[in-house]
Amino acid sequence: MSLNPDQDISDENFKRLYFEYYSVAHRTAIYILKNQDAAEDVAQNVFLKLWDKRNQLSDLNNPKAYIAQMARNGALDTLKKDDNLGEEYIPLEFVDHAADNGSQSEEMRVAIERAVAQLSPKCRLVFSLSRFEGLTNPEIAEHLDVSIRTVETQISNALKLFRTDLRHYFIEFLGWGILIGYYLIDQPSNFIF
Amino acid sequence: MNDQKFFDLSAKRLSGTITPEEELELTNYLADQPDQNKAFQELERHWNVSGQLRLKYENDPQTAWEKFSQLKSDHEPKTVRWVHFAYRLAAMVILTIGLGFLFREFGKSEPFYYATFEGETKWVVLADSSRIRLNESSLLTIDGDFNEEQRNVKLKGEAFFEIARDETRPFIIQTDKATTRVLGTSFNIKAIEKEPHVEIYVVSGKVSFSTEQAELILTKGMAANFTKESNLLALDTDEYNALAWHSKTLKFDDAPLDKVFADLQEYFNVDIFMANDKIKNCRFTGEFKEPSLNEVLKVISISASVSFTKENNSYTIQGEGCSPAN
Repeated sequence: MSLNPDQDISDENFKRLYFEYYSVAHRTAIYILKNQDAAEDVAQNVFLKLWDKRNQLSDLNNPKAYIAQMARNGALDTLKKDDNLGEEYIPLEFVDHAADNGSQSEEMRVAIERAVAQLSPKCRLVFSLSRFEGLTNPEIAEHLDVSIRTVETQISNALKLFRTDLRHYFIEFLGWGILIGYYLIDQPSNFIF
Repeated sequence: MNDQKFFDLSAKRLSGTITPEEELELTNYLADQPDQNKAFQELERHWNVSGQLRLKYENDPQTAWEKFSQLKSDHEPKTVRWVHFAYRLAAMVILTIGLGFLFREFGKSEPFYYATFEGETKWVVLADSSRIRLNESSLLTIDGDFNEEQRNVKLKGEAFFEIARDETRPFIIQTDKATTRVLGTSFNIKAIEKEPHVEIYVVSGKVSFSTEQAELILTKGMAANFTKESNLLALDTDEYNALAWHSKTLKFDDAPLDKVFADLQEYFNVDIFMANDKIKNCRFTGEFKEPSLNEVLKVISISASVSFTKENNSYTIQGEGCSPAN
């Protein structure tokens, strides 16, 4: 039906590219922005930019990394304009639900969600790619087009913040736990009397 | 080991980029510092648990694609606007060209007119250095764009043309229904409105004399006429006196007297009547330079055995005449 068969192939290729890499762009933006909707805007915008130069897309030798970097830059630009997207966190889940052995792990999961939310955007992206996407440091360096040294520094920073934050969190969690526990234990007696 | 180094080495160890030397350093340090060893174990635990987690990500690429398709078409206005811009540009270009033409049209100089009164003749020299001599009561119109691509003039009346040679710009004389087209030559045109013919006589060069239907190519010494009523083009033979008004020479070569008298009437602007119809059968040969009518008529009277009487501007020819020749 199309008058221009070359254009048609390009459109088809573009759709394939979109389906393959949309989540890469979206997830990258989520790690930075901690906000699904804002991240979706960034991701769609990445592909609008790609759409505008769709005729040059065959020149990309690593589209995944290229798209991830575009999403990272787009998300950081979004932060520059509005660094208060709401007190959000990155929702996490266990890869293998069998590994989810009880409340201990659940506490840990929530603690990590909160700790990750405290990291700086760039640091959070590197840490997330390492832990939640399972990339090695050299892979992250290539993926984000940064040095391995930068990756290591960001992970070190993440760990530093993790220790203080998690420790703080556990103290807080313990405190709330005692209070709630006390309340739950105490409550029935109130009912009786 | 300071805190920073502890975290750097821990990060390297946990993410697997630690060198053997650093590994040894960290191991020794942790063995020496039980607190830090505990801290490291805590980090390692968090690290490992983190590794079992992933982003809780529910995304339907189809939905995203549909949204994207919508965004894409909203995004297209850029192109549409660009198309608008292209249209505007095209409109501007067309308008500019149009205005250019309009100004050119306005800028065209008005046609120029040369006219002669009765009894007056006039030499006209045109921009291309062609020379035209207008006979009496004639009107020559020079087009405003004369000499640009063509050399267009219009003639009502009679004129003698000496056209400067220019093969790139033909000289075109528009007369009542007949068109004369030349490159460079001299000739006479007689296109008097009231008269039934347009006549041309070529002195030198080559002339195209045409109507919408036909064309005559005339060369030196040839004459032609166009009859307005019948739209007919015809060659004139033995036409010597077309240019008489200009050359002040009358020439007759075995011409019948009706032709002789017609030329005389024309040249001297008089009326000549033949009392006897047979007179026109007589023939006359002779040539006059700067002639006077009396002189000519005397010569003819002797030659053709006729006599003439004058009354005002009117001459009457009398005599037995001749029997039709041939």
